[in-house]
Amino acid sequence: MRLILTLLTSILLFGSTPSWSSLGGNAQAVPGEGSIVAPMAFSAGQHAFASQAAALPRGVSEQSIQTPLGITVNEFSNNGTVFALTWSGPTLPDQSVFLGTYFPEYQQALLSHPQGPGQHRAPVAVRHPHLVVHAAGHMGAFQGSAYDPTLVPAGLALSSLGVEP
Amino acid sequence: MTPCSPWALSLLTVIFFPLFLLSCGGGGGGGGGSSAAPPSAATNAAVSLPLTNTNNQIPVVVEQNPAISSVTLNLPYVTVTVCNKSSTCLSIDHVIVDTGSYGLRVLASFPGLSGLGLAPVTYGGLRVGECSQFIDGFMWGGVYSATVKLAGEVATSIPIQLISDPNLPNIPSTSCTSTGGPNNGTLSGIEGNGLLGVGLLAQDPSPYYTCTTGSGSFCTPAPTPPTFPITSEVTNPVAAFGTDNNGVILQMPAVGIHGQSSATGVLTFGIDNNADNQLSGSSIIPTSSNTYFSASITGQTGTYPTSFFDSGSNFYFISPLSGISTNSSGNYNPSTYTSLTGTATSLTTPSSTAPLSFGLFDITADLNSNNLAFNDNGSTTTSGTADFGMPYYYGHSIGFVLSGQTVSEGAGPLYAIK
Repeated sequence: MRLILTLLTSILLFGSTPSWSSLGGNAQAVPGEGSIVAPMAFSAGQHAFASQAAALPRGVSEQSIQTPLGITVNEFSNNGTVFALTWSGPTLPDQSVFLGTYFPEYQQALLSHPQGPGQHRAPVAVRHPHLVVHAAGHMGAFQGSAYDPTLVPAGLALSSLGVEP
Repeated sequence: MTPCSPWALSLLTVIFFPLFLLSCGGGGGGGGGSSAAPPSAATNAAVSLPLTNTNNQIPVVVEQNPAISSVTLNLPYVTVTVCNKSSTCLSIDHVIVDTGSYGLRVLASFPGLSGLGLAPVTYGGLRVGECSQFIDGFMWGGVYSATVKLAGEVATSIPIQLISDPNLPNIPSTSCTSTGGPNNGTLSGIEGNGLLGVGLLAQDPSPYYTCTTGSGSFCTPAPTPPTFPITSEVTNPVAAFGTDNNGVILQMPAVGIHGQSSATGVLTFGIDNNADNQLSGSSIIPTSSNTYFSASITGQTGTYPTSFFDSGSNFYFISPLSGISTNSSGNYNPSTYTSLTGTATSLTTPSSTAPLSFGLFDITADLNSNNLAFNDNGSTTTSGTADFGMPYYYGHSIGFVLSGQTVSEGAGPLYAIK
């Protein structure tokens, strides 16, 4: 609630979307959605994973965000830094927001057709040293995940978060 | 025909480069070369199914698109007729039938299309633009009202998308370029003149915008439904037909494991209301609201909970499949044809099941024989996904009952698998 109040306050005070959180960024910030006016609503608050799996390192938490177009984005952070994302929904997320500084690299990877130009409606698989993205689906139903391998806490099984390793 | 004709070569060099060296470098004949594949028995022949009713059926042709320099592999083409309010009509050839999307979208640059003067769809006095989203890229363009004719079926004054519309030249960032994918709204990006989306939903839920026009045009995101009327969204033409409007069946002829040079199948409109569209003998899989079912494959651990049938995907995209080799492009390349069986299980309650059967093979050598209709080309994808693409349709019949429609076998959205 405090976070929502902060968000609303920042919109009221500054008339713009608040600072962005994205892969590699601060988990406490709420992603903005460019020119979309409607503010983010939280489908669920933050909650720690500690009670769910004792094997998870301390400090790993999840934040779920619902975008105005109905996409659910889950951000996983370690001591406040987002190291992984998952998403699903009827449209594709604004990756310029959620991948943040990694976005140009992602955009370039998709331009170069990672799986070959002879394929159509092909899923996305990007495997770079600092960025791994998997995305699949079709019109109206998309899902995927992304992470920075160098930010993942040691010993954490990404698949336990729904993130494809 | 040389073993490595130029057009086959163009695809081989970009996708199968390492294997291209193997299959062409050995100087072998007939299309086999020295690849790991067994001696090719490629028939290189056309196969086809006949139409039985010209009122509700159209031919679907997988063939080399003469307008495209690269191989148009497993792309199912139909001809669509688009008309304006004055009943002036235009036939648009080589439009891809896509059971994974919804609505008609065609290149605005198709010869003669601008001359129809289709009426723009507006909202709040502004033109409506759309960023139609696909997993590997987007198509940007304006939404226009057109009457769409397929065989004897007519969808009167429905919203369609004109791709790369010169009236809306500036592509918005929000929910479009910012999704990261490339702009696929070109002849080479589509490898056709458009897409005919006849999948399980009646409307295209991609993002819509309101736009000013001209060189300084600017688009801002439109409200979401119901504020933005769904009747202004790009519409699956089947849902707007006067009759035969509850779904489609796509059936392709069987092809050999080495592929065919072309294959002609049938797209049938309507379900259970004509002799040619009965679902008897099909297994019924109702889908979740987002059109998925869960697949399992014999011998593989785990399930594929985001599975679907998509004629617009020209490969199988299934992962993981342990024990089946892949090449450097992530394409499955078993040296002998590998049969796979499985089960489709609905994600609904109560659940229902359907048997699945398909195969995988290294088609590299057979591309040398100018074959392009394959039932066994597959590639890896996101774990847990089984996209049963165009290869699955050969020798199978897949029915699609639209969301909101009910037939005696059940309520849509559902797949009818045979």
